[in-house]
Amino acid sequence: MDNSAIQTLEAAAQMLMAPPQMVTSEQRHQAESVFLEFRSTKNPYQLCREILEKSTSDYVLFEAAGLLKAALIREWTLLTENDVSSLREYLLSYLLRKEAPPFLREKLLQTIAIIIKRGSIDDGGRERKNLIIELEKIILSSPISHQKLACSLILAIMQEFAITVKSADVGLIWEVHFRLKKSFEALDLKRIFRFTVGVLEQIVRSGLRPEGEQALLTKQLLTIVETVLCWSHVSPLLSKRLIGAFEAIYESDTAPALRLSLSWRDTIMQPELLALFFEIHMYVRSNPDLASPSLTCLVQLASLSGVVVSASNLKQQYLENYVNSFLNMMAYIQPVEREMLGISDIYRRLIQFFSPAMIAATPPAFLQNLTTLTCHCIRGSVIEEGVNDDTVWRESLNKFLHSWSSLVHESDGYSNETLMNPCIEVFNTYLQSRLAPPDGTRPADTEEDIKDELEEDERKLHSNVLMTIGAIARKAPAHCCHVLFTLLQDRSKRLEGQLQLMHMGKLPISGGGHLVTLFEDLHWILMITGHFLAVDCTEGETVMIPSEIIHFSLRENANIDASLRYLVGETTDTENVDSVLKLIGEIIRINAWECAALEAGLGSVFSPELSATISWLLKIWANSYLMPQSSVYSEMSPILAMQNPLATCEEFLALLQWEAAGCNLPGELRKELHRAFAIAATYAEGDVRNRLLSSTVSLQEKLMNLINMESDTEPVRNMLADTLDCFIGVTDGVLEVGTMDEQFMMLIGALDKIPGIIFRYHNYPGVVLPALNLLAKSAKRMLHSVQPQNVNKFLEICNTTFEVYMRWNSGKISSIPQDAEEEAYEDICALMEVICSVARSGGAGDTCARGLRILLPLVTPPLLALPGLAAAAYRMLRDLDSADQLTNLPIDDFNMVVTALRVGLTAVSCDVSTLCCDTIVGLSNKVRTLGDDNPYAMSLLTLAELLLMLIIKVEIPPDSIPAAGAAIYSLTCVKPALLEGLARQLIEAYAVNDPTNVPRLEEAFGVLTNGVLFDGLRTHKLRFQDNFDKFLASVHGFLIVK
Amino acid sequence: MADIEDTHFETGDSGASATFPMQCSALRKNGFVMLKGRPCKIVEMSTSKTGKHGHAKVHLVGIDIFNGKKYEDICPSTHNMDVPHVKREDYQLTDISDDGYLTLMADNGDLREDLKIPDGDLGTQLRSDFDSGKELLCTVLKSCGEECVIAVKANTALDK
Repeated sequence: MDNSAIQTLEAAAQMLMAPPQMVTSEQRHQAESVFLEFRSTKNPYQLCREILEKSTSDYVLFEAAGLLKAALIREWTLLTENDVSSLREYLLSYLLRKEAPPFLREKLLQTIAIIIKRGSIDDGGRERKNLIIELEKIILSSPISHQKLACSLILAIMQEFAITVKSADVGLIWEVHFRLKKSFEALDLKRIFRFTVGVLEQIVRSGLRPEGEQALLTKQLLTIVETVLCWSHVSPLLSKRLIGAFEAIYESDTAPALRLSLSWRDTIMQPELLALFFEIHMYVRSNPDLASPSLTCLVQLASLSGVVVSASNLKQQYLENYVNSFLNMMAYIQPVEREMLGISDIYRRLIQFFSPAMIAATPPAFLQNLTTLTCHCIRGSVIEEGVNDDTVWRESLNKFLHSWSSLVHESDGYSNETLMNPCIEVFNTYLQSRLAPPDGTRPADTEEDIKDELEEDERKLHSNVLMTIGAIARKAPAHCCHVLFTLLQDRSKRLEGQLQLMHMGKLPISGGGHLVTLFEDLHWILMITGHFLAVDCTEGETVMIPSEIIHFSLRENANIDASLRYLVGETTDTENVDSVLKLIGEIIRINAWECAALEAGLGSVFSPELSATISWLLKIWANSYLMPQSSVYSEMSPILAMQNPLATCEEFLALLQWEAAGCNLPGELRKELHRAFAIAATYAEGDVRNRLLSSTVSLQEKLMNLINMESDTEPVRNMLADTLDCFIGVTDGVLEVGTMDEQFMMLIGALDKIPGIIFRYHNYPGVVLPALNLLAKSAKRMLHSVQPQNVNKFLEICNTTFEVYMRWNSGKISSIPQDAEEEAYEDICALMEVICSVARSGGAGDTCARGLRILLPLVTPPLLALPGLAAAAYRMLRDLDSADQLTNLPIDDFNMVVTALRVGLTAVSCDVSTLCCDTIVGLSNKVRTLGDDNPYAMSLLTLAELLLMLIIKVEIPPDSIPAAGAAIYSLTCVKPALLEGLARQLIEAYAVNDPTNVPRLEEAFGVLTNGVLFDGLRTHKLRFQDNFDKFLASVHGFLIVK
Repeated sequence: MADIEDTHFETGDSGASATFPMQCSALRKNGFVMLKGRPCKIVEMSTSKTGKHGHAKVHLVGIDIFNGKKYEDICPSTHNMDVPHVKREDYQLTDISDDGYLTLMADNGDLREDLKIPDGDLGTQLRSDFDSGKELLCTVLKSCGEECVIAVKANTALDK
């Protein structure tokens, strides 16, 4: 037929692909519209065949393949079985016959796969099976190019069946996708696996080197096997949401564990199978492209679990087989860098999926290999840190350490005796890799680069690795304690020597590389010591002295008196002194040297990094060792229990005076200091408590003085801002112990002043912001647990603050553009926080309403375009809605809320549009009781049309679609005729432009409301959600031309 | 190091009463600082150090509060920087002269006519609001001997 049509397309393609200066933009637009029209061609199958046969333009071929796929999905229900199968046969023969370019080949293969998938809904997989048999024949006995094509088609089919939750674009609902996946799994997956493994075996046995075409084919076969082994075999009993989570794992880097059903037992338990996989890897490992999938196969096989090995003897047998083959391979090869990740993953998965007892029963070489490889990775990763951005060694080390962490914590696995020597080896290697020569092998750090301090804290950066190294070290406490003590003693002597020489002027103050090396050594020894002595817990965990340390101390049974005398520095005699205390004594001595250096004016010499590490170490030591609570320990070493706070808390209390006298710490630190005072006050008693509380009193005096000052200068304003920040510290530190009224009364003196401060300093955002923040923090921390009279007092302050703020800020236009983002933004966020906290405390609707009335006009669309502010604003609306605050607003204010929701729905962020939909659901449920002609209801219902259009045109983020469905349902509950009206409107619009789709659109709306009552009850809500999915699948199938 | 010395040299020039010293580590973002002799609002603050065991230096980026130009400086965190005294006062706008000068009235009734309409959108908005008869309140920012209008709002206080 149409040669002219093809010529038109080819001419247009030439326009599109031409360099910019050769064509006018008008010509380009015209060419674009030719293709836009082409993409919506109906019944294009014959035309596409013609194009595939005749056209030589890549672009036209690509478009034709795309159209073919889209049309099939769109018109599937209109096609006969004959049409479809002749098309499929044609496409396959076309691909076998012609050397299609890759982009075209992949598209056509995907089209065949879609045909197979949709076809198997009706024929139960008959055609699919026939096709697979045909492909197997091709692989066994055709030219290599055909074999590769057959492999690609198998992969395309697997891809099409693999994912269910996200496979929305072929016009099927999720339940059907899932059913098809399960049937494919049951009928064909194992067959594909066995066949492919068989072919791979032949290739390996053939002895040919995997090169050229042969290598490409091998890679495809390996990819098929890899895909089978990484397949997410999901139980049909899980909910859609959970299955979605599983599939997200499937798409991520780490594949899910290999959980197989019973039907796989005969295949997977064959002893030769594992040996074959290791053989395959050794065959391909010199070629990185092939080694990667083959190693993934080995990793997956290391995670075998599920009913297929539910009997423990089967599991044991499988593990023995696996480990034997694995050790055979390891004896034979020297792993290269890129294999490390895979091998570390094999260890991690074996240790994760097989019981500790089974692992402990493996041949000794298993543990020995693990030790050697870990040490190898430690050395590699330290070198890697200094050299490049590669992370292979570090990632591998993390995985190995993951394995170690399981090994040393399992009590029914390896015995302590077995683990001791390997642990010492790993510990020594790590320590050496961190120390400078001659003790260690740390590469010299020659670079004096400017380092950005925003880079992660050293102590956090390495904490994962160090925590495991610490746990490993505690398996050999005597050895590690001794090594660490010797090193600390040596370095602290050197530090002492250097500092003294400098103090006497015998050494230049610059210190030089010597000192830096010493600092770096100490930094690492201290970090390792810290992780050896204690576990750096996250907040909220009960911190304890590790049990291995207690046992070790008990076993040593040292002299208590001698130990304590050594610890406080009364003697240097280490005879009969507890080893743990020796270590602690040395830490305290280094700390003392640091203090001495600072006092002697050598502060500019001492390393801030090392100071930070010393503070960190003291902190984690104090957390575990100071005042151990006997109730949480089953046994305790008397020596460790004796270490009560050595000094009284006088030194801590001295800080109070220092701070009150005006220490020159930066504001942020003073805030922390007041937080600490407040925390301590909660626990302290009697006089100490009063002295701690007096810190707040003197803060208050300071505030009063500042407010009463006549002179309004920059330093005064700075001090005011700092003082307000200190109050925030107090608020943060107040712990919720019983009622909070006492703490509240302490703060009220400051809170009371906030409106006045904002009034006087309204032009100084540097003061207004901390004042608002203080209000917000106090509302959040204590409003919900104080007496009603105090709540009222607080609300009064809020009301006045709102009024003052509004007086100076409504209608304000500022010249400094960044103000719009920075200051207005932070002010408004603080105000929103106040309103939310007030709303959450309940029963303060009036204050909320006032706050909102001020806030809503300030939150303009340009501000809502800022993602951070938008997220906070819409979260506030949702929270206020759940606290029933929005429907109590005057109608004008409510209209502003609706306008804000309108803006939010069209935002691109998934979070914001979901929040808006949730808010709409909540509002609808409340408004429904008022009747649909109520002004609130009418205002809210104006959102329905926008929402429906956004959904239909897929302009709402896909993850918000379920929330949007719920919103449509609850809006319709307010006015049941709503949806029908909107549907009619939409259909009428289509009747003008696209009459052929009208019946399908009518049908889709029929599906949407089928059997649903808009009564807001759960059953109907759920039924609507189901219908909504079907509605979307069908509407998107034919309305959208991608 | 030359940078730091330069700054001290120049700021030393701007007069003792116009600025006061403050430790670098105590400066705040959105606060003020003198950079290259100009009063600036701090828009970015970051710290860096020479080598792992070196001492922190603060890197400051500021925007000139009068002409909007961007300045940068780097300073050891323990050193002092000059901070300009900044004052903001509100005036009622009573008239705009033909040559673009504003007639402003302070709270105590004093009149001044020495400030021009600000540049940019703010100036345009100011003029159109004034022409449409709105009562306007202008915020005047003063620092280091310079002054200009930086914000305008409708004077709601008059309604009450």
